[in-house]
Amino acid sequence: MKFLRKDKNLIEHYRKSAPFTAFDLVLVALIVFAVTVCVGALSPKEEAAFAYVYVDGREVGRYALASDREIPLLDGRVTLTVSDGAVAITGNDCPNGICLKTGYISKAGERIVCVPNKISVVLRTDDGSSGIYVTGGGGS
Amino acid sequence: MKKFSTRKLAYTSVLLAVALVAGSIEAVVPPIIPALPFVRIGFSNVVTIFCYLVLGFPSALAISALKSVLVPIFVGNPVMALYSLTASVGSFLVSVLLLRIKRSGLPVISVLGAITHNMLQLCVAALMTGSAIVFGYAPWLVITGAGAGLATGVTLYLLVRFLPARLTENID
Repeated sequence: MKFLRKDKNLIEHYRKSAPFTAFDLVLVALIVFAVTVCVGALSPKEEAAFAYVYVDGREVGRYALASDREIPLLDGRVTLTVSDGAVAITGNDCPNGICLKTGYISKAGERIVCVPNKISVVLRTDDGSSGIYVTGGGGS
Repeated sequence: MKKFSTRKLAYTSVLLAVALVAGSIEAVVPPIIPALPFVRIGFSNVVTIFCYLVLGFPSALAISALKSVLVPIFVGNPVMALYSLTASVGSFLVSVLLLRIKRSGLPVISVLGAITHNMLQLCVAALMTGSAIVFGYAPWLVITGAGAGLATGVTLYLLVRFLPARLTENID
């Protein structure tokens, strides 16, 4: 444990040292590598078959992505459009419009969420799985 | 047990006060990134690391733990205390390790500290909400952590480099 004993020269060392050292490059390379691996491993890859739509936590419908159509929700205030195996929210009266900017999603596990209107559109495969996400059973 | 001098105690308290002021101001100022309001630059960590370099581990640990509990209380958001405590102390310990091996520059040590701070906050969030969905934010938090860490680190470097040496010698 000699390593952990108090070292009175720490501040002197840092006073004299340069802002960036060779070892920094090692650390930065390590971080970039770790982040790339994680992002790669966690990105959704499986094509989804169904869009499950939840309003306020309750499932209100499941739509196959195979057929192109437009789906009105919440008495027409919100519109979902399915086209080319992908789904997007194309009409919404919510204040920020983040859900509109999310655009089309087509892979299992991807989702579009509208917080003000409490809508979430989640994509799953044929057997109801969300690809890589391991949720404890049908969570929205 | 080694004596913890009164002088050191006084210095620690003053530094703690500085950290509390910095942390409180950062917490009430409008968010730098509107989409992520809890992202802050974390200048109070400059104080923590500075304290570690000058006053040693016990003082710095005390500052880290106390500021992360007190700032949320002062600001009126006590829920943040748990997040802040785990994240601050955890990232402080990581920073201590990196500082001891003396092979890195201060800015990058701060960057790593900031990143682990954010990752620990994510872990606490995952435990509190009971879901792993929050980890979707991880890449963004690495980026903001790197940015904030760089800002803090450069400040720390400038502080250590340009503060007159006679102010910090023989504080024991």
